[in-house]
Amino acid sequence: MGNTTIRPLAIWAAAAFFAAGCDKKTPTSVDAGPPVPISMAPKEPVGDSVRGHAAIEKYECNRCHAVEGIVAAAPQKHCVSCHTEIVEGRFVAKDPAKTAEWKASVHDLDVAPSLIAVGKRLRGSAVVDYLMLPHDLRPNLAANMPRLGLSRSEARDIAAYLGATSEEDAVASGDPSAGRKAMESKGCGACHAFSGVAALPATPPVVAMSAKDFSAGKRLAPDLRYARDRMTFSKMVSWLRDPRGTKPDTKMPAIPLSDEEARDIASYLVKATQEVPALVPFRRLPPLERKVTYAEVDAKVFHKTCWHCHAEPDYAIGDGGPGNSGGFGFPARKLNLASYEGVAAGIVDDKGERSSIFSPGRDGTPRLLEALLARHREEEGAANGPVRGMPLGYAPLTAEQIQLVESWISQGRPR
Amino acid sequence: MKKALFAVAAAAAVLSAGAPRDAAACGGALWEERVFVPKPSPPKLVAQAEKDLEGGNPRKALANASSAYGDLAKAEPGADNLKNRALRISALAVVRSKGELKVAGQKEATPQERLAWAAKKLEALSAKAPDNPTVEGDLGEGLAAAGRDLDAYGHLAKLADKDLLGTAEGYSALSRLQFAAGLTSKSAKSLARCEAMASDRAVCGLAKAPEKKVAEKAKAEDAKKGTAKPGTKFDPAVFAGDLKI
Ligand code: HEC
Ligand code: HEC
Ligand code: HEC
Ligand code: HEC
Repeated sequence: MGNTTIRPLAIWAAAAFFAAGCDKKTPTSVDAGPPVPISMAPKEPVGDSVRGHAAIEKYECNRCHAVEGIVAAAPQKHCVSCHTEIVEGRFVAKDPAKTAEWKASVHDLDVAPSLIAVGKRLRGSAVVDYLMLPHDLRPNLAANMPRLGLSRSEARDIAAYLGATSEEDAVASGDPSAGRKAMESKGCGACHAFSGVAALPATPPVVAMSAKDFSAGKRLAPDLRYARDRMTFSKMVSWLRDPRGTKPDTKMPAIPLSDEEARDIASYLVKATQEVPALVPFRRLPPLERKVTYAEVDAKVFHKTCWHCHAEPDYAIGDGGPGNSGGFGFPARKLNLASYEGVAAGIVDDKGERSSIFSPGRDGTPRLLEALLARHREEEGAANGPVRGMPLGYAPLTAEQIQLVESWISQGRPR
Repeated sequence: MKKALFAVAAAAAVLSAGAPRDAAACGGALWEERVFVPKPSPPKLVAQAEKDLEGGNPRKALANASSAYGDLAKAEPGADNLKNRALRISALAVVRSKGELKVAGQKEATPQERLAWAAKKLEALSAKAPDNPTVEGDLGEGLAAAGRDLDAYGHLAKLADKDLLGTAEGYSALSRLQFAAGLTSKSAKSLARCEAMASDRAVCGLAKAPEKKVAEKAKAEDAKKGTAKPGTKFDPAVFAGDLKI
């Protein structure tokens, strides 16, 4: 396993595992309006790439992402490669029934975008902002980038290591309305959403692709509304001309475009008037009247999502996952959501003392509930509060799941 | 890298084979599944014993813990966490049977002596795992059963204050101690916590809940109609401790 740098992750299968039910914001909007100035992000000081390397190791980015110059995490720690093996049927347990059972229950985090050639694609400031407050970029990918405990200067160092330091840009030139037309005819909408403008038609792409490649490409395709903040105009043009020349492992196909077409498209991506989607704040449901037992909460919440990061180390060969034994740069909180007693035993707090996850916060909300609600606020764009949003790196729980947890707590947590 | 793989192999050797529910946990857990055929093994037996204890069956719990480890009567807590869990189960099985159950290999003893043995083991386990509320709650329960009321009260009341007491049995013991000390309203509160948490009110020294009787009647009727298929019904008690792997 002593391989050197990039471990190419064969993570692109999983056609059948489409993320269902992702929020598709309804685009309400107009076409390219009057040209607007290119967003001018304030210059971010440049970080230190040597420290960036160390930070990537500290935060274990290599458990999910392929990163140039960083060895992939060990197989028993690598969230994405183990899940890929399971989904593709390559993780063979001695007991074949297990292989089948796991295959049926793993649906997410079998793929994450690689961090190859980040500097050739993204602005430094955009990478730093994203690392500080990540949000859902890819509407067809259920897993999210977790909100880690990075400081801004560590984020800058990481951006420097990834080569994302420049903000230099050429002046946007090109015809946005011709760009819009080109996008419609070239089939960009088959993979990409562009929320905030009139929906792109889902015309099939003009290049031949296998069903497997297409499905992988669609899952990994970002919502194009963020492109103008993430990329400079010049980087966008070179990306469109030659995605694979920019990032060898990309799942975006090379779609033949003339230089003029690429500029037209880029100018549309940069200048199109985008309607800001109306923010629908999360609404809680009233507590249930019927009795809610631990068994139900366990089956629908703890065992479904949480337990994989909050397990009992005695049974998990010494590592109870990042939310128990520590990981992704977090200290060991020792929260075990695998059993009733574990849930009752709480977390190790910042003072190093055990405290209950049911203890009421400032407004009386139990800490566990607060964590679930905080995850919704994170996706609404809020900064980190005193309690980190859970489930970390996954979509927020549904209103029904949160209602279930809240009802169980208010009923005295019956077994 | 080599080191990491070695650590896994070593841990797998300690656990010897198979994997109960938690072995699927995602922090580096089910690697051993490739290497070992899961069959009744210490991890499975211990997990099953924990489920039996939770389900109110100390006799079965003790039997399963003892088939995982034959020498629990003389065992002391050590580096093998799984064995420590088995020891905890055997001590709690003695406590919850009010000293009726005897751990294999133990000499003849009165129930009171057995309860004293259990309390000692729980004390030793707690010393090994300071600041673990689950272990401390068990210790409080064990001390109360052995008649060491003052010690028991200290542990149980501290945990209850921080809302870290995780068993109905713990609250039941605390309620009894508070009542004996004349703290009647606190005692009533603890009893209410016991009742809210327990799946069987008998744990709190209360009569069986009427709803349970209704459920049992319905079950009996189902059986009469011949619609009840064993094992296909959703049974929270079984499900809660279900072996996932
Ligand atoms: C638990 C898995 C996980 C870990 C750990 C993780 N990420 Fe991510 N990251 C993701 C996923 C999933 C996405 C895609 C999210 C989306 O598109 O909505 C992502 C997206 C990103 C992106 C955007 C890439 C792009 O092309 O759009 C960057 C940059 C990034 N992560 C950097 C990092 C860094 C740096 C670290 C370590 C400090 C890290 N990630 C740790 C899962 C992870
Ligand atoms: C050694 C292999 C392995 C590793 C490493 C691993 N997982 Fe898993 N994961 C599994 C298996 C197997 C399941 C299904 C378990 C089951 O159904 O009992 C699973 C299921 C899950 C689930 C629930 C199903 C889903 O797809 O949503 C989550 C969440 C999860 N894992 C998160 C993680 C995270 C986060 C990491 C990295 C910290 C990780 N896993 C690392 C094997 C692994
Ligand atoms: C088969 C699916 C697919 C098609 C068709 C496709 N793309 Fe992409 N596109 C992707 C993927 C996947 C990425 C992410 C690349 C990566 O990180 O490796 C991407 C990235 C991009 C980006 C960078 C966005 C960002 O925020 O990082 C732009 C801009 C873009 N595509 C524009 C287009 C345009 C314009 C078309 C049509 C001419 C198009 N794409 C067609 C899959 C597709
Ligand atoms: C990808 C791994 C992961 C998943 C999935 C996950 N957690 Fe966590 N959780 C963590 C980590 C890491 C921490 C420690 C965070 C910190 O120290 O700030 C944590 C901390 C917590 C805390 C303590 C928060 C605080 O600040 O007090 C609670 C409560 C919690 N998790 C509940 C849950 C619940 C409930 C779920 C499922 C709905 C869940 N977690 C899913 C990794 C995870």
